[in-house]
Amino acid sequence: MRKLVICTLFLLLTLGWTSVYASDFGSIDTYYEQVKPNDENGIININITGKTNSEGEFVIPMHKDSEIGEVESVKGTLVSKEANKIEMGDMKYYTLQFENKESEVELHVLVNQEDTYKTKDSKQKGTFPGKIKTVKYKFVNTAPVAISNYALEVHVPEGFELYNIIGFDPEEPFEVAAVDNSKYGKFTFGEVNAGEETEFAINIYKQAGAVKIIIWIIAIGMSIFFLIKKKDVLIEAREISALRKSS
Amino acid sequence: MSSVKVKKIKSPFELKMTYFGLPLALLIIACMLTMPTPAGLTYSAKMAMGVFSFAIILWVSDALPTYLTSLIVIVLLPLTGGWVEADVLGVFGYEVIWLMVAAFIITSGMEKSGLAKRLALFLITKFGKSTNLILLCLMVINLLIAFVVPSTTARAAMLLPIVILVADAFGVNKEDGDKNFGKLLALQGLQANNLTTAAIVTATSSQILAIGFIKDLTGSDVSWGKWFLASSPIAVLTLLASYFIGKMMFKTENKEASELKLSGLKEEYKKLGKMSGMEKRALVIFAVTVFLWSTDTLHISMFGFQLSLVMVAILSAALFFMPYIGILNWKESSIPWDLMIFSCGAYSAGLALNDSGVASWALSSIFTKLGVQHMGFLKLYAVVILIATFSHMVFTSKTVRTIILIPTIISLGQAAGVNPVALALPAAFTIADTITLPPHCKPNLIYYSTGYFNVLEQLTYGVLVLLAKWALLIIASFTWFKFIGIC
Repeated sequence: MRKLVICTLFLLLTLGWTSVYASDFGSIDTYYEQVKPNDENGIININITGKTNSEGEFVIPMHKDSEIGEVESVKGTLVSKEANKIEMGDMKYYTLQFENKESEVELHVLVNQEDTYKTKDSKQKGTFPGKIKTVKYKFVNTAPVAISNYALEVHVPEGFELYNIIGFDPEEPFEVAAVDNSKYGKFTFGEVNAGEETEFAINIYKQAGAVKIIIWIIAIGMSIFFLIKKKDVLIEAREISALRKSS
Repeated sequence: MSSVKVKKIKSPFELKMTYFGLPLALLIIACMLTMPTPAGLTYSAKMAMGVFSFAIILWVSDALPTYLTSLIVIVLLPLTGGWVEADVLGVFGYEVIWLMVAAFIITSGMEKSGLAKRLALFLITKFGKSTNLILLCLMVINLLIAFVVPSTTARAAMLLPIVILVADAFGVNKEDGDKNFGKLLALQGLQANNLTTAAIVTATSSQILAIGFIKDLTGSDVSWGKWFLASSPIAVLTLLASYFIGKMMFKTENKEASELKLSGLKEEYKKLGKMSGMEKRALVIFAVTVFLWSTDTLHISMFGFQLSLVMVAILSAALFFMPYIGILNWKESSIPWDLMIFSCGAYSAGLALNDSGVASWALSSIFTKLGVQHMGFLKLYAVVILIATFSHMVFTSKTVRTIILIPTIISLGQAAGVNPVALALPAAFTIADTITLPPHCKPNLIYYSTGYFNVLEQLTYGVLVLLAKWALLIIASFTWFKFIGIC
């Protein structure tokens, strides 16, 4: 019983502290990432909306092996475009200083990340086309607040086809689209809590040029073969037609 | 079950289709493999669409035997990236395949016992003054059992033995038999199965899901009675349209069964005498099966466990084989394995289309291209209902179709400033109208397994009936639906 009381008190204190702590960091309402390739590295365009805290600070998660390339405010006035790197134990995130306190802000952040497009051979089993590679993108919400709505689009490198989205389900908020001939796979994750990790992976495919020629040779060759072999069917059709006409 | 296979004499047009079908299918798949992928699709989805088109051309043209096309589809799907090998091969374990196996064992048992013959002869001598009456009678039976058996598949499995036996009694399988009567029995059977489903909201779970969406997204409550009041007249009129279109397409002798023939059949029925022990056992097994199928929602409260539709069928098949209880041995069960293979290929091709997102892409592309938001109500209604009616050609799963179609139509109605229920509810009445191709639903596959009709016949007949239903729904929009306050 004593243990239960202690545990309950501990839980209540932790939760209470976390919520007070979280409110000190403002909030992140929407967080939309557009990941594009730059050779093996990635350029991540992020659009964020949220609320600053009482000090005018706004927190954003930090990506692994990355650096912020550009910060631009769409709504609200930034005091400085320099993001402050905060490290609190395992937590690593950025803060941006706005003039506006406890107010809604919208900003655009560009992040350069290393090895985002370092592909691996796709884990296919049985029968499948060759040369399928996997691009896996992991996102950890390192910010001390939850993201209310997180969505992501991962673009396909030039010269490749979007083979499929791993785990695609037509009943889930997946999307496939293209902008300026750049195809991407998209998924809306919804809420992502502080410290939570998400993963999104696509398979990409490059068809060898010779394959196209082989396909056409096979298709035309087989068509001619069957057209010749089955010509008696056409003769039969003509005979029946003639018979019907004469009768 | 009759095993007599009759060679069908093809028309010159059908022969030409057979001749050109394979080259055309090969060119289509080659195009799909080498063309750029459309913006909203993945490569896998494009290939699923390619393999599906390839298969449809071959099935419709009859250029290759249907089971052979299916075997090619099973190889092509993983080879081209249309679907994963494990998923393709997994289709053989799907409930629809097991259900077909079980349904054929039940049919064999019913046939061996003589019960199906008694039932068929009873139907013929009682109502069979003409083939027309038999067809109408089967349609009415389909409608009536839809109230008690909430599964299209179970209803198809239940009526299959009767259809086969009636066809047998009318000599459909004989060399000089009336093949068109066989076609009508099977095709109208599957159409009646699907079309009557639309009359009763509880006859399939997708319709319940549709009214759930309507309630959640518009706040309008559609009760069982409201659905029935609105949809049943359309369903009955469509059944009549199906009957007349069928009669026009497949001319039957339909002479009043000549007195001599009828008296012969009556004599045969009399000769059956009292029910034999074997018939009684078959009747008990069949009755238990129907009881379990029609009470599936009460299983837990009645027995403390749940038996699914397919398990009831397998249990029934097991009972037919059970020593001292059943009446069959394995050799007496006739399972058409070529049709099982066809079903696997057809189902794989359809599911690949669904799972890869082709279906939702096709739907949104059509809505966007037509610019439906800017149309007047009647035009918008006609386009939406037409799309809903034929959407099953790309969406194999009724559930997925409902999930994508109904919310899309509701938002479309809201965007166009019309009552969304006036669009979504009539669209929901088309959810069960999956009558055009064998892989579109399980009852289609079950009826296709009789071998009485080919894919092209089903497609042509199905499209015509659906166009008739579409016209009826349009007329209803300014008459019946207006009168009862839907539109």
